[in-house]
Amino acid sequence: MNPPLRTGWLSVLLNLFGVAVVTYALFASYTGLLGTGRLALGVVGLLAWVGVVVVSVVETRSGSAGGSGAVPAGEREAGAGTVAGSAGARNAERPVGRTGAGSWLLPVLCAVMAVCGAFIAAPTFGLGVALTVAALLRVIGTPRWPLWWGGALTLASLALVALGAIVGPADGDALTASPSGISALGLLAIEGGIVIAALGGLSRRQLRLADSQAEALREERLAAREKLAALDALAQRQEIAREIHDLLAHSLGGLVIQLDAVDALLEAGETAAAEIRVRDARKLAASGLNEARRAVDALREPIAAPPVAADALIAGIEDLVAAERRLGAAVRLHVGGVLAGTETTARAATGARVETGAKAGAGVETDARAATGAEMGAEAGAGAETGVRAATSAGAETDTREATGAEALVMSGDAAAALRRAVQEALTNARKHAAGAAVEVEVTAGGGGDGAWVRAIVSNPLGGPLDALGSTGAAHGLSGMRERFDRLPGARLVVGASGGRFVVDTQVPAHTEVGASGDRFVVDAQVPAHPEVGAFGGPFVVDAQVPGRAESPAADAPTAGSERLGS
Amino acid sequence: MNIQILVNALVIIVLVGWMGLHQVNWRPVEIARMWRGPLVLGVIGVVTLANGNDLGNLSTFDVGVLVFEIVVSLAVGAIMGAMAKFRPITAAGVAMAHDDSGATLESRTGWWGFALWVGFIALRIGVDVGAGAMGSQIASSTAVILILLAANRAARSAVFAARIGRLSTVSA
Repeated sequence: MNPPLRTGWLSVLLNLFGVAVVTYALFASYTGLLGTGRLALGVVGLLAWVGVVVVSVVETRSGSAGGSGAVPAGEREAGAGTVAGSAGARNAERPVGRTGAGSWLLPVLCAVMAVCGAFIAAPTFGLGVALTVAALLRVIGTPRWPLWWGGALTLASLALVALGAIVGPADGDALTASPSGISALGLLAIEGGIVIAALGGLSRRQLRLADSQAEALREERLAAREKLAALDALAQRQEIAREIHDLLAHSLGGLVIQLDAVDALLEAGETAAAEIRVRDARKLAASGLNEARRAVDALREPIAAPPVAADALIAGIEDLVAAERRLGAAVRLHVGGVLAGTETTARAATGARVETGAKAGAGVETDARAATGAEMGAEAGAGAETGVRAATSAGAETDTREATGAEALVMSGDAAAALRRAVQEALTNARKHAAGAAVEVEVTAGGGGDGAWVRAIVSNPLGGPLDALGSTGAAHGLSGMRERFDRLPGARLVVGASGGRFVVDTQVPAHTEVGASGDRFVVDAQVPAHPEVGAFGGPFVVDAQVPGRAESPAADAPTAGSERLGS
Repeated sequence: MNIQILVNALVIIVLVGWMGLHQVNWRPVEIARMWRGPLVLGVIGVVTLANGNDLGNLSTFDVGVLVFEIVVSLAVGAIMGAMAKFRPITAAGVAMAHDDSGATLESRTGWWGFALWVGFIALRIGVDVGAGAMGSQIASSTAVILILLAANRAARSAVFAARIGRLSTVSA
């Protein structure tokens, strides 16, 4: 956390200047006053100072070689050069990236400097204290060295200054007076200087600690931001994967069944029936393409999906059910609870569709048998049986609605999309894993005001061993479903086997709008003008409301046009 | 043997005994109160010193001895603080602590701390006698003893406070 410090050239120059001044003063003025022993101590202290400078430079150099690069000279600012240039500048020393070779040498040299300087401080009337001050600033101001080193060195220096003042030179002067020649006040001043140097070192240490903490904080913030960006990208990828899966799995899966049926019909020479199949397949492909376009638009320019009325949701689900029936599935749709209050609306909006659905249900017998038979391959007998069962149940399909309250429900666009996608995925799964079996779709609603909810349950008998289509799944659909519902506050999704059936039970929050069903139709009518608005369950509703539009399909949108026509 | 030395001897014996008890037994750690003792002792010591001596006439020798003794006292206090062991407060500790202290720890320096204290007293007496023989006016005064005691306790309190601060940072 506290790397070695970078020593700038200004710091080196100031320190060398300090060494020069003290050396000159020591030899010019004090050789006579000091005994040989004390003079030698002074010289040792000065050599230690030079050593500190050299080791610092070497450390900085090796640190730079380690990759952090040299700091431009312009960045290095001089702080106050203290007594005899001892301190160097606070800013002249910058952190470098790795520990230098002299990590143990520097503190030892500093200690020698401080001790020698302190002992000759009093006899040299304060000159020696320059060494002590420089050393203390360095030792206390270096955050990677323990604070108690600095504390101990300060105390030792204080004691040695006092000792140096009261112990006379080796020539045996009387001790009672002031053998060092310094006054009591002078001694106190030197001691005070040492205390101030220690406090200065402490302040320098705090500043450096704050610097390194700020640096660590910056790095943490950067890392967090990068992580957030990565998460964001992941979420986007997941959303795109979900959309692709839901669209492609549904449309392409349906297409495979239709084309298998066409294949079988052509082999049997029933070209008329095959032609109907091909048209159905084309419709399915066109609808899939439409949805894909809307999904791409929504992904390109994400906007908040507008609220969706319950009748539009019903229309969308009826649309899905109808498409499923055309593929030969036996689907029974039950609408109950508050939603049934929208019966008239839903029927008005989707009248043509319901009719189509009924027709498809009636005429599905041969298709279903053909499709299932084609899929089953070797098990012709079983296939025929299933086909018959499917045809029977499909033929018997009647959608039911319970007439209860008249309040209209509105839910968020995301909630409606999640619900519809869940039903779509459940139908696709039923088609894959329990082909031909009776599928129940139940849409109910309850509650009132802001506590209202819409619930959709899709169940089908548990399938047997995986067939050709069923084995292609990788459970992307269910995980996508879960992700959608996880992002919706107040929504619930339960998927699992229950009573021999595979049940997808979904519920989203909604709210009621009294007598507003007419208004919601206006919203639906806007769908063709703003394609992105109708990302959910659009085409059928539009058809019901604006049947005239189908007569002149836009030249550049033949698929959309035919989709409207077909419904 | 003059009265000053007698008083000193008495003070020293009392201090040694009192400190010995404190070192060896577990005592509740009351951070706020830890500083009160050294502060009071220090103020009394300085006032006594100022009243009993002519500070203007203090020699360099006096100041040197005083500074040296204070530094040694600070060092011994810091070492004692570093040697002390902490443990969560016990029922006996709670009973011993002041009601408003909010002490959560108790500490003991142990016999090594006691030995250090005795050693410090011995050094103090040695310096006292030596400095007195060399003509120091104040080295052997009671005021200096109080100041040294204050320095010792203050250093110990500072180390305690730092260590407890680190403890609470680690446990937080």
